[in-house]
Amino acid sequence: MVVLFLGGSSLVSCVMLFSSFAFICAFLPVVVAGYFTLARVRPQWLMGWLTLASLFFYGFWKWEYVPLILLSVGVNYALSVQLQGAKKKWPLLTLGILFNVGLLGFFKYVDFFLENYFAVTGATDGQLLGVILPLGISFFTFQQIAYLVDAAQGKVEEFSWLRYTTFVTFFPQLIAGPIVHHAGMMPQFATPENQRVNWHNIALGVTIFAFGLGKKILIADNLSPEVAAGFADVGALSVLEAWQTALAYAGQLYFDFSGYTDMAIGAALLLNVRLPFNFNQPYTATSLQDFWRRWHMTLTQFLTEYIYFPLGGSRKGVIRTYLNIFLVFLISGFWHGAGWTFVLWGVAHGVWMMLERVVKRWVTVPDVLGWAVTMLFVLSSWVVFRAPDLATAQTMLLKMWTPELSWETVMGVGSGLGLTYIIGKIALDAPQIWERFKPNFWWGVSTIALFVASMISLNKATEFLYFQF
Amino acid sequence: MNSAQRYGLWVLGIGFTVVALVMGFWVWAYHQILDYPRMTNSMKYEVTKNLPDDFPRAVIIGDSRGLDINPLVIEEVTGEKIYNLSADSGKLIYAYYTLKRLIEQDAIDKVYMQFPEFLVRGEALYTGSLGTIVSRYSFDRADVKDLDQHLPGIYDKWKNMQFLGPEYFRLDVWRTLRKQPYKIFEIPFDKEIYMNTVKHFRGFRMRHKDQNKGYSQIVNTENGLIYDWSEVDDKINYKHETNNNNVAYEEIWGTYTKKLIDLLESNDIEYTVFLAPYPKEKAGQAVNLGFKPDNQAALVGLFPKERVKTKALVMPNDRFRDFSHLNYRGSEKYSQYVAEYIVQGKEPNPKKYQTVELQVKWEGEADTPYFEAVRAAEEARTKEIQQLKGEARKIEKAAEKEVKELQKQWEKVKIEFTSPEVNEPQPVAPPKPVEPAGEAAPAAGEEA
Repeated sequence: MVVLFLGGSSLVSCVMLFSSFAFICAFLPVVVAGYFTLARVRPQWLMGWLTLASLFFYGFWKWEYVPLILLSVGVNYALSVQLQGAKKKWPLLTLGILFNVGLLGFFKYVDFFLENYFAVTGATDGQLLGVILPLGISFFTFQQIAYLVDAAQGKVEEFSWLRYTTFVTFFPQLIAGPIVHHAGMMPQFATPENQRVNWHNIALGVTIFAFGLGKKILIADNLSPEVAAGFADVGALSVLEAWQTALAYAGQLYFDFSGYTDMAIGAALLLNVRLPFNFNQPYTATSLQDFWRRWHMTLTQFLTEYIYFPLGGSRKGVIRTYLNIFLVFLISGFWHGAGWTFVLWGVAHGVWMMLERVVKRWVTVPDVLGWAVTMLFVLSSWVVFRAPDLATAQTMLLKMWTPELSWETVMGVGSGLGLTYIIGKIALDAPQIWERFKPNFWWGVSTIALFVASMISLNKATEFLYFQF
Repeated sequence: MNSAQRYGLWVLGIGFTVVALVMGFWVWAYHQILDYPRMTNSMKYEVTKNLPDDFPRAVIIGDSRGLDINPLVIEEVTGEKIYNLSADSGKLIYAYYTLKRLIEQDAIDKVYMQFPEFLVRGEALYTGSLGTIVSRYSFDRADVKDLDQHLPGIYDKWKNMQFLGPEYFRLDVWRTLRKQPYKIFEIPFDKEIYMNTVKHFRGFRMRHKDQNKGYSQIVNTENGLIYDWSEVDDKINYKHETNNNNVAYEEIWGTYTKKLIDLLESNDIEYTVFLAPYPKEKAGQAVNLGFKPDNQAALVGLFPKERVKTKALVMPNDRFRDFSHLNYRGSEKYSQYVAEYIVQGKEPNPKKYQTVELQVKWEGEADTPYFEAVRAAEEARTKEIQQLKGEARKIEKAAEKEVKELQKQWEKVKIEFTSPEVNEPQPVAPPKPVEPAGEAAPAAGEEA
């Protein structure tokens, strides 16, 4: 009974999902109420309260990993303080980056490397370590690397350890982003105005949260069985079914991840904290570059600022620019997962970005054509992203791109793409809601309807896709 | 109060209220079930410890599908009192010990056993002491198990409505809703049907508070009559079974089938074995299981032929609450069927329970795909055999080639070995001169 109403399956009941009764009916109300109550009576305890709540949120999944995140936070904070006063900063910065990459490398990639090592050496008795990936490690590692780099460059102004811990562990963004920047976050925790109840933020936060919940529960979770069935037996799919599966996955991934981000933004807003936007109607993008300005925007910003620019960006000639772009996407692919499919996905995006640049130097592509070509590429690349292995991806792509296309298939794929555009255009992401929101009757009705419909369907909730990254 | 504050309060207030009402309904619905302690194998076994005087001389025993036989319906048809001793995940080990205990008390004359076809085939694995069944069919009932078993009225409607689940997006559902929009809010719970279904199931589902009379007193679960499996005599075999090993399971299946038959026959107990009915849907889907002919054969193979009811009943989907368990409608119909079988001592006219339309569908949807699947499997197997033969021929040829090559090499080596260079006589060391015996030590007495 309890399990059913707290979240459904055993897996779901382990992680405190945003889309669970435990989070919506218990955790979030208690944290928000506690926050504003403490703000009145003991404002100095606020950061402690948020940190404790966040650690509880994290530890709800596996309390054994709470020391790990605390270790990561502690080491990074200590290094950043040392960096502040150090004359030679690069040794400390290198140490810090090595620590973070090492931690991420061990928990996320060690089995991948071992597996490939065994495959290359032909070792048949090799044992994988079977390390469990701590939730959100890719996200909080990136955030802290950024913090260290900025600390080395003298861009960090605040060094309060509690505020730093709150910044890293802040529960709405802890597990799957958006990847937040200390410069945008830490001052918000210190602003006295943010410690008062702000009804506009609550109204907007509830609305964004409800829209995100609806995206996840009512759309993404209902697409999930189609996708799973399709990828379970790729060989049995017809051409049209292969395209349908790819389209369904594109929809699932978007509604799942953008829904999660909306919920994160909404939940943070209840505490008067504004998280950065992460999605802006990505399936309406007219080029891949445009797509990455709209999809997982905070990751794009991070990679641009902390990898692309330090590599020289576009300032060091055409060839170097292309190489930098390629490297950024290669790293992005590898960041998404320890598997060759992710590497290939990153390589494909890097190559396509280069090609796009070359083409744009000579030709102006009409928006409609640009959109169609981009979508076809994105859909195909999602297949690689989702496939359990390269062979499955290859089978699926060969099915999708068979030269023997029937009229029915062309019409089906065309309609699917058109539908994707329409849905991509009408589906509201946080920026649109933020811009258009008015606390009036219709927004209220829509929000209540989405909220109630989603809550009723909660017992079927599945895990968020981006938790694995 | 500004507009944002009003908005926030209204949205949160109405949202949470509606959710609370809906959840409240579900909590209430589940409460109806959870109020009554679950019947377990152990509890059933416990029943047999303290039998009342008027305990029926006939019992039904089987797994959860056996629980779908309503003893009251059988009593109405046959005039014979009967007790349903079936239990969730009831195993043969359970049947054996339960019946053994009854026989020891000289409490029964007749036994009706019922088992599903996949148990007969030994495909199911049991885990856990109280029998959580893990088989290819069972995953789809995990979430709604309580609901579908105990509030069939709710379950039926819920299953069809799917409360904003995938079904909600179907056009036909929308059409229905447009005509009857109140159905969204209709409480899909027919208490009368539920009570009629539940309260008369002697020995099973007697969990309602008002049912503390008659046979329900036997199963006074509120007093915690929980049987401990450690009391079972054959601990070794029981542990063996919980190893969750197919082989072990089948071994036990065979072992206890024999034991059970011996027990019943040596005590002159009249018994009949039924195969649980299955739905048209499953018959259509389970094309590669071969359940229809094989399981009959398997059942006959396990039990004496004359004891086995030879045909399994195929019933319409709407008489099932899931892949193989009947709902209240199916339960009633199937109980009548069993009752008629008991009266006649032979198969009743199946058309009474299985419509002509369904028969036709069965031929088209179940048999044809089944035979096609069998044929396809055979073709695939033939192809595979041919392929393997081809590969074997290739390997054979390669091996022959290799042997020839080796023979050639051997010949070459042999020639080299026998060539003059190889056989040139090696210089032989001259033999050591043999020292004459006794030279070192003069013979005793020589000096003398």
